[in-house]
Amino acid sequence: VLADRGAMPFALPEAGVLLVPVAVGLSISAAAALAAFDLDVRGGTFGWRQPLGILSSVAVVVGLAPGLGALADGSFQVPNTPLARLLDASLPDASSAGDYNVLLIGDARLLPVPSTEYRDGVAWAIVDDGPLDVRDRWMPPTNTAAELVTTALDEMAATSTLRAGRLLAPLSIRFVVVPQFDGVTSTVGDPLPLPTGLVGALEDQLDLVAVRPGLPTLEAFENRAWMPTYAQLDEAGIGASDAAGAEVLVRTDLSGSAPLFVGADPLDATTDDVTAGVVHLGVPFDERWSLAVDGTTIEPRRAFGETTAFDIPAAGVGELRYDTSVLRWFAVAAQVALWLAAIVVAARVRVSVGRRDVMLLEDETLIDLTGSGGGSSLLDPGLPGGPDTSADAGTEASDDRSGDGGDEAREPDHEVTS
Amino acid sequence: VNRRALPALIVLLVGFAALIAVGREEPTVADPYFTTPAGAWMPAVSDNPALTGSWFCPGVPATGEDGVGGDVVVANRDDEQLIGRFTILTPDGVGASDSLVVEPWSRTTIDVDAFVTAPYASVVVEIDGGRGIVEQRAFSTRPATRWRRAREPPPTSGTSPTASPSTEASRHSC
Repeated sequence: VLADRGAMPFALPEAGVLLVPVAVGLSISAAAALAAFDLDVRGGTFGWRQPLGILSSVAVVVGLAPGLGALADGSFQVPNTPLARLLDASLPDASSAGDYNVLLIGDARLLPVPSTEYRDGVAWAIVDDGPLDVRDRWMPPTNTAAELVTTALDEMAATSTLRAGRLLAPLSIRFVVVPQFDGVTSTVGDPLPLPTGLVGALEDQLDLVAVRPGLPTLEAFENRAWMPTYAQLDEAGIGASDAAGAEVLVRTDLSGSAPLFVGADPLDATTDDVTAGVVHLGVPFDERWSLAVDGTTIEPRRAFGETTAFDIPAAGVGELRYDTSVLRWFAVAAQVALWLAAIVVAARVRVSVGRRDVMLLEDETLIDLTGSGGGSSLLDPGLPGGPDTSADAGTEASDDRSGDGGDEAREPDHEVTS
Repeated sequence: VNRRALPALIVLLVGFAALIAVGREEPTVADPYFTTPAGAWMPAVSDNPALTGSWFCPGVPATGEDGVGGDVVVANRDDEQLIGRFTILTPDGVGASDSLVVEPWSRTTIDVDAFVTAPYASVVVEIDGGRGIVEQRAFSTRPATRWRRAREPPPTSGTSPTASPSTEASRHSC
């Protein structure tokens, strides 16, 4: 509760994560209450424990009722058309115009995906043109491309330019969406206020055009200066891509770029015809992107200071791919191993390593009581009449007295008889 | 309740009470804020630093007739060259667009009806760095076709109202 109200001096995990130990605690409490009723209350003399025990048992059952009720239809009071679905339905699919991204900006409580805090209760997030799924719930890694968004928002907020759309173009942001209602946190009857001045600032921008017909639940603007996620830059873009900074971007119209690799899946290699010039990717710069034109691999470079580009010397068939780091596979394997270990520990599966040792020792004869060995059956060489006190004999006896060997030696008999 | 369990019971009750007390308080959350709304937009010249300066000239005649027309003047009152772009808008949309350069301490004139032909044409001038001053001029040298009363403003020429200080750095009216 304190962390949710920001009253803690340090950051705590998300409330959803903290619910796990809370659920464990509640389960232990409920089990303890029922066990106590069974062990202590039922057999004791009548007193305050009996009614309290019954009350506790009833409370446990009653406490389950809301959860069962909420689980019945699985909707958890979410509206029939959640904001994520509305967003998918409102914006066009990636077509021949090329792939694009969407900038969501507004109150972080209304954004359907994890967001980056901008300032004063305003947050933003970037999603691609595909339908939102559970992968979009993962927080994207921090990267330098966020600087482009922050710069664009800063310039808009300071009324320093009316060309913020051009500042967002390298990230292939075609739509800027401001959610207003989600039907849960913000409803028509009890709406959250929109960030002061945000919609007005977006309306002022020359490159941003309000999407009509509008929806009552969100404000959407199309960036006329956008360029596709995978694009072949025109002459103006080629000249500007070597430079960095808002001063360069704001005077460069990148909307003349041609789309490439439309519908490409970043997880798979994809091919398309490219021409001499510059192929630009609207993603943060990453050396693991590679483009091979007619078999010749071209190294990526930074474009506009933050994004990724390839200088193409001659036209050909280009194959674009992303090489995942080997370290990631190690990390995934380690995670799988840890999960398996956790499952094994939780299931109390015993790996009988010692039993194999027992079987190896099964046929060994440590003590010959028949006397056919020719010597004394006494093990302690120090006792009178004991065996030879040579080093070998002493060692054997000492090992036996340690106890482990004796236990293991006896265990096969036990195993057989059992 | 025995004596050893009493402190634990007290801690438990106090904890519950504190949790309820804290939970009942409505957290104060400030409304999200992005920027101060522009409000009423007044024609203004600003010396505030800006990434770009955009001037919106409402319109001048661009019919191409003799004696009737208009132009837009871009003045550079600085030591550095001024670079920008202008867009001429007509009722049919964007009529023309081009770049412009103004040398230090000089001015450039955009002859609107040399680019488009329309009853009226508006001009948007964008200047890198937000410097410069832009003004539109409309003129008509043809004789008036009707008599005017003395207090009626003459329609032969006009300029923008007097500039006033503003906090807006990038948006101007000429």
